[in-house]
Amino acid sequence: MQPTPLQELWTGWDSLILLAYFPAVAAIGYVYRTRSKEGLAQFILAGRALPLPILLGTAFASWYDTWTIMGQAEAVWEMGMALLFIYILPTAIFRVPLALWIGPIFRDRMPEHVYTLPDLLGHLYGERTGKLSSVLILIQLVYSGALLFIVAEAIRLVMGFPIMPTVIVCALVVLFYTTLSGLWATAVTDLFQFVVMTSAGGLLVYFLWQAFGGFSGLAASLDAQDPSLMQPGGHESWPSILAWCVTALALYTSPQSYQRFGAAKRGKDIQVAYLLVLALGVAYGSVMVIVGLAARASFPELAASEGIWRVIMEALPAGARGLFLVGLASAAMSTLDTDLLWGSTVIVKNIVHEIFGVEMTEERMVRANRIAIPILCGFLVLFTRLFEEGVARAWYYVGGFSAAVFFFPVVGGLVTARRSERSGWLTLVLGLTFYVGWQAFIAPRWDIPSNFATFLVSGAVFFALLRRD
Amino acid sequence: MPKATLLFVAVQTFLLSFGFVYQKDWVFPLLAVINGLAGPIALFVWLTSSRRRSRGPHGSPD
Repeated sequence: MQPTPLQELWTGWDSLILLAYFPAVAAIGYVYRTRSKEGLAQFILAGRALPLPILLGTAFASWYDTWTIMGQAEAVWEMGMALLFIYILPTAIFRVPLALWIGPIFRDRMPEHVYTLPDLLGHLYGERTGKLSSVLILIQLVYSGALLFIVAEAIRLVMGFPIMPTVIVCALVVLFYTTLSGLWATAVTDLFQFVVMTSAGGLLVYFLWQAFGGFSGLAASLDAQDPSLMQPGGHESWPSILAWCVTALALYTSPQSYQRFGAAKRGKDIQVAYLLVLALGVAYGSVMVIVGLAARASFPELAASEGIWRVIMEALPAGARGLFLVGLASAAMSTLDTDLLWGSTVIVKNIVHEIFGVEMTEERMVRANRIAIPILCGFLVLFTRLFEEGVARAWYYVGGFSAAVFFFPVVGGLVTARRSERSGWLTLVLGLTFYVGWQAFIAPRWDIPSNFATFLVSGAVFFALLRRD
Repeated sequence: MPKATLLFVAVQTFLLSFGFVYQKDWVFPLLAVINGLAGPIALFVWLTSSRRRSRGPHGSPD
């Protein structure tokens, strides 16, 4: 079979860097295996002792994933630089309270037995809300399938490897270090993955600057195609802009955020690490905005993902292309390991132990987590099939649903003492019912997205049910 | 420290918003520097602080 133009650009140096990455990550996990042998808090919360630089690395690597790279670039291809102003910047601004107050409150004021998001909701609103959230929160795991798919599709485009074997190799490496060493391994590997991701992003934007000379080299082609591509508001409708803003709130409801908060040494470390993560997230997302614009300007005739890879491969020199692909794999694997860890904890601790009443010692819970992780990983590999048609809106739906249904019970519960058992339970139940109903019957007719409509209703229900005394 | 960090977030957000809205070419090198240095600095801080901890306050293991 003839190599495609993309495959012709791939060199032996790039392959060497990519192939060296997988054993290197697995080795870090192996080194940290001894830290996970002292109980559940060590395995899933790293003994609540993550130092600040590791907290920064793991927070960044698990928040910013392959969707941040390819999904955002694809969304920019469609919407232009508007994505920066309706998603990337609002995301950072809306998450400042998460870094400054919510994270530290969770770390410093919640009891030691609160490990997971369902634990938190159970603590705030009682057992039934905790149990319902244990099941609902697992929907977020579907998104990991999109992340793995992006890496596999990239490797197929540039190296010609088939998708499923690549997905399985990535999953096996993650499985190895996550099962062996728990959060210590995932956090330390995340720090290294953070270094690779940001360095590759820095290199890429430098070489794009060399290739195009800045915005001036992109504007003519983009204006000729569609002037709104270079406008901050783009051509998105107001309901769509508001819906993107709602997805920006999804990390307030992300189980991985609360797992990291619980693993920090103290609340003040969370403030510093997460504020830096927000700033770096904007810088990293901005690189992908430039990539999306450069791809659209250079290869408007190609499909979005192919055009984006073409511009990346042509801008970067040999070796740096391999590093960028490693950065993409890092982004996927660092989020996948986090998802596997919180997902297995929710399944074992919240569902098997609390809902089904299976008695377990801490030691048995760690063992059960090690069994649940590979099973969960198998499902995540299967979920990749859901995204064969594209991933640009994967986070829009999964993140949007989570923010719409969970935001008020989680954040409201942490900041107000007037919460009641009823306010958490009914907000969750009505939010879920409303989202499903709106998505099925109203969203196809009206231009008001389900996540935005549900977010408003959920907020109204939560505040209406607060205690008045 | 959170105040200095918050200031850094605000200044960087303003600069990038301004640079994108007015399509300033300096956005490219600015992003290259921020992204290129962030990871190595964090790694350096962690490695030096963990080495200091393992040596203890006066060069002995703590």
